[in-house]
Amino acid sequence: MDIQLKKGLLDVCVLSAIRKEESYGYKIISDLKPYIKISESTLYPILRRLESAGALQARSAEYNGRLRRYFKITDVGRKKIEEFIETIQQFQKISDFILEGGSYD
Amino acid sequence: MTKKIWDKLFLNALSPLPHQERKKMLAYYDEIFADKIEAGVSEKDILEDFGAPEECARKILEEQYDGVPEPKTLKRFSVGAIVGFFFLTLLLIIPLASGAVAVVAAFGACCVSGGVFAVGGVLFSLLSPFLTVGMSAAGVIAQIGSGLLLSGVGALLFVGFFFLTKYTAVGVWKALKFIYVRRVV
Repeated sequence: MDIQLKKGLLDVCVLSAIRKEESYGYKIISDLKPYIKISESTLYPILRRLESAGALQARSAEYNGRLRRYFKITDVGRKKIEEFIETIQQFQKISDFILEGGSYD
Repeated sequence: MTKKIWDKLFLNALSPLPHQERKKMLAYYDEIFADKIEAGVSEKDILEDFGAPEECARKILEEQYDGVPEPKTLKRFSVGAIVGFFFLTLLLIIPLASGAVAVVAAFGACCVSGGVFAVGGVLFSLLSPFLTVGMSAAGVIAQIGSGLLLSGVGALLFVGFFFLTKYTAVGVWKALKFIYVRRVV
């Protein structure tokens, strides 16, 4: 898969994992495991990139006597997901066209 | 491999980065490690999942920095290098630089002399009719001619030594800058 396309896909996957409620690193990886495998070293720069882009907010909170970093989606992040869904729908049309052999009878 | 060793190797692989950045990255792995331990995964399995610490560091650096960033460090010199440089300056650079400065000064003096000759020659020519009272016409003409010749030679010397002085001074300055400024900054 094209690297930029994969990067965009992974970004949206991570945002989708925190869309309903804020989450943390281990949970994000676990939630995505059935659909796409993301390693810890892949997730870290994704989180950093999304945070820089304002797509998510991070905060530290105490959990069982240690600090845990929680990530919460922002409006910018939600918009990114919507834009990606639109893109997928466009791709779907193109994909159908290609699979149909290039022309509709 | 234990987590402690993994951490050490990981931080080592991230050494081009600032301390705070490396701390953040390690804190991220520490958190996931603790979560997995709580979930009942063994240390060995967790570290296997993480993979080689150098590989983890490389992936993060590639994703985040498009490769390993250039470390922004000042050049550091050992005590031996500083002492050696001091004696090199004392025994070689100062004598050579002094000689070079003396040469520049000599060129400068020749330039000034040439200028003096140029002006003096012109004055001599102009004043010749008054300085040659009682002399024949040929003598006066010869005197004026000598003055002009002196002026011409003086002008050539002035121009020639002006550029010699200029380029020698610039050359000495650049050499000293090369030795000291490039190394010390």
